[in-house]
Amino acid sequence: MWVTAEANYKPNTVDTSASKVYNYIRRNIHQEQREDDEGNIFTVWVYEEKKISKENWELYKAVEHNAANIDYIAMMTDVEIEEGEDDE
Amino acid sequence: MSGHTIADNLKRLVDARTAIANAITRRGGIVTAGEGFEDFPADIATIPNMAIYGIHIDPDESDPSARVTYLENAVGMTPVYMGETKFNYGSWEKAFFMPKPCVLSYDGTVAYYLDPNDYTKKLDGTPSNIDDLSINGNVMLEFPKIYYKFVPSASGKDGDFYISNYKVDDSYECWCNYDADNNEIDHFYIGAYNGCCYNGKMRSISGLTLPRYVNTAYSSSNTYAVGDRVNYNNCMYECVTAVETPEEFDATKWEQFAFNGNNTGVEELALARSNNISAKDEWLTNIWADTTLILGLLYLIGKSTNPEEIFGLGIINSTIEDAESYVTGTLNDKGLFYGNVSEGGAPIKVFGIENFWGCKTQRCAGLIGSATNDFYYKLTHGTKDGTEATSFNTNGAGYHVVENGQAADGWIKNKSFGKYGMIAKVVDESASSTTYYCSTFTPGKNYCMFSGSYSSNPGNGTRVALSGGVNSRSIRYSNRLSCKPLSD
Repeated sequence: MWVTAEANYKPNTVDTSASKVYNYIRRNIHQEQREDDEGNIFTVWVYEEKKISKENWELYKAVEHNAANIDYIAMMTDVEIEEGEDDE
Repeated sequence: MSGHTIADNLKRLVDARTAIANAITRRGGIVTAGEGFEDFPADIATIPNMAIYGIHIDPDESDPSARVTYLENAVGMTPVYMGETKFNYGSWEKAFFMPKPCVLSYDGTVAYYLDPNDYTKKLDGTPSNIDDLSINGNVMLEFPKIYYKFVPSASGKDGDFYISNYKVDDSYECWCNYDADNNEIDHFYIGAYNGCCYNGKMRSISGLTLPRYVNTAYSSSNTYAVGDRVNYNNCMYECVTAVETPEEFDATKWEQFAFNGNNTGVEELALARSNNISAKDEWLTNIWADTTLILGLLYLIGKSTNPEEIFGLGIINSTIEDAESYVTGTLNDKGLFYGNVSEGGAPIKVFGIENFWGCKTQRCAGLIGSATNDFYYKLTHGTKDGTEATSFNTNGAGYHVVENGQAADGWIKNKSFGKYGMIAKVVDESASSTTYYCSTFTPGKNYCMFSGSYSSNPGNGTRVALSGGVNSRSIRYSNRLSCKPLSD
C-alpha cells in the first residue's frame, strides 16, 4: 500500500538500508511549504512510499520487471491492459 | 507397596503446606490461620496480580513497529489497533493501567465513576451531569499507581521502557503518583477534554465549544450589538441585549461563555490552579511526567513508535474554524480509544482522553528548554523527584538539568531515555513521518509544547517543541487539567 510521507531531506527512491525488515520504494517526490504553530513557513519533501518486506524483495523486483515488460509489449501491440488492485 | 511410612507422608504434607504458604506470602498474598489445604484457594486469591510489561526500542531499525520488541510479561501479547470503526484491544483490554473515567470533585475525591463506553451515563446506568458547568469538579480519567522506568541503551539512543503495578525494585518509581507533600498516592488524574476557562477556572467539562479568548476588554464608553464578545474581569461574555448607550457593565445584558486558547502559559497555570481548594497544588495543567508516561504506554500497547498510525491522526489538516467549532465530549460514546487512522480531521481519544493530540498544541509543565541546549525538568509537585523547586514554574529554577540534552530541529530518529522519560536525542535525514518515531522535535529555550495543532500534517501528533514562549498567545495553544489529590 502506498502511503503519503514527508521528511526534511529529499529521500532516495529506493532505500534498502534503513530497516532490517523492509525496503522502501518512493515516488512522486516533491516539495511543499508548511507553517508551524509559531507561524514560521518552511519547506518539506512530500512523497508516496511503499514498504516491501525483505523476504519478498526479489519477488517484488521480478514482478515489477515483468510488469514493465508487459507494459512494453502492450504498447508495441496496442493491447489495452486492465489495471488491477495495487497490492503490497 | 511403598516404603514410606505414615509419618514420612505426614511430614511431606506438612512441608508442602509450608512451601505453598511461603509462596503465597512471597507473592504478596495473605495466608489465613486455617489448618487445611482447603484454605489455600482463598489465600491464593489474595495474591495481587503482579505484572511487569516492557518494550525494547531498537535504535537502528527504522520501521516503527519492527523496532519494538516485547519484554517480560508483554511477550506473546497482541498489540492494539484502531479498525475502521472499532478499536481492537488485542491482549490489553484488562491491563491494570487502563483508566476509569469519573467526575472528580475539587477536593480530590471521586464524586462518581462514568460508563467508559458512554460518559453521559454513570457506571450504574443513570444519567451523568458531565455537561453542567456548575458541578463542583471536572471530568477526568483516573489512573492507578503505575511504577515505571525508562532505561537508556548502552549507546544512549532509545532503550527499554518498563511498567509494573508494584515496586519491582528501587529502579522503578511512580513519579505520576506523588502529591505536593511528597506522599505516594493511589491515583492520578488527567482531564478528559481540552481545558475550557469559565469563571476564572480551567474546566474539563463536556458539551463546550472551543471559542478563543477575546482580547477586547469591555469599555463603559462603548456601545455593543448583540453577538459582540468582550473580556470583562478575565471572563468572556457575549452580548445578548444591545448596549445602546455607554454604561457600566450590566451582567443581565451579557452571557458568559467558556473559552479555550489564546491564553499565555502563565495564565493557563493560574486558571488551572484556581481549582485548588488550598494553597497546595493538586490541580494543575498538563504535566510532562504524565505525558511521557502516556506516550510510553501507547508505544507499549500499540507495539509501535508511530501512535498516529495505530490510534488515529486526530484533528490535523484542518482549519481554525474546525478547531473553534469543536465540542468537548464529541467522543463520549466511543469508549476509551477511538480515531481515524487513514484521514486527518477527526478527533482521537486515547486512554479516555479526547484530543490527546491534534486540534490544539498543549503546554506541559515540567519540561523547559534552555539557551545552551540543556533542558530542565521536574516530575512531581513537591520535591520527591529530587528537585529544589517546591512547585512547577515557568523558568526551570530549581529543576533538574540535563546538559546538552536537546537534539536539532527535525524528524526524530532516536530519543534519550532517563528519569525524565523520553526526549528527542537525534534528528536525522533518514527520519520521516513514516520512520523511527514518526514525529518532530523543535529545540528551544522555552516551555514545552506537546502535539501539533489543527493545521498540522501527519507526524506532528506527538510532536514536542521547546520553542514556544510561555508568554505568547495563540489560538493554536491550549491546555488540559491534571490532578494529584493530597494524600489523606
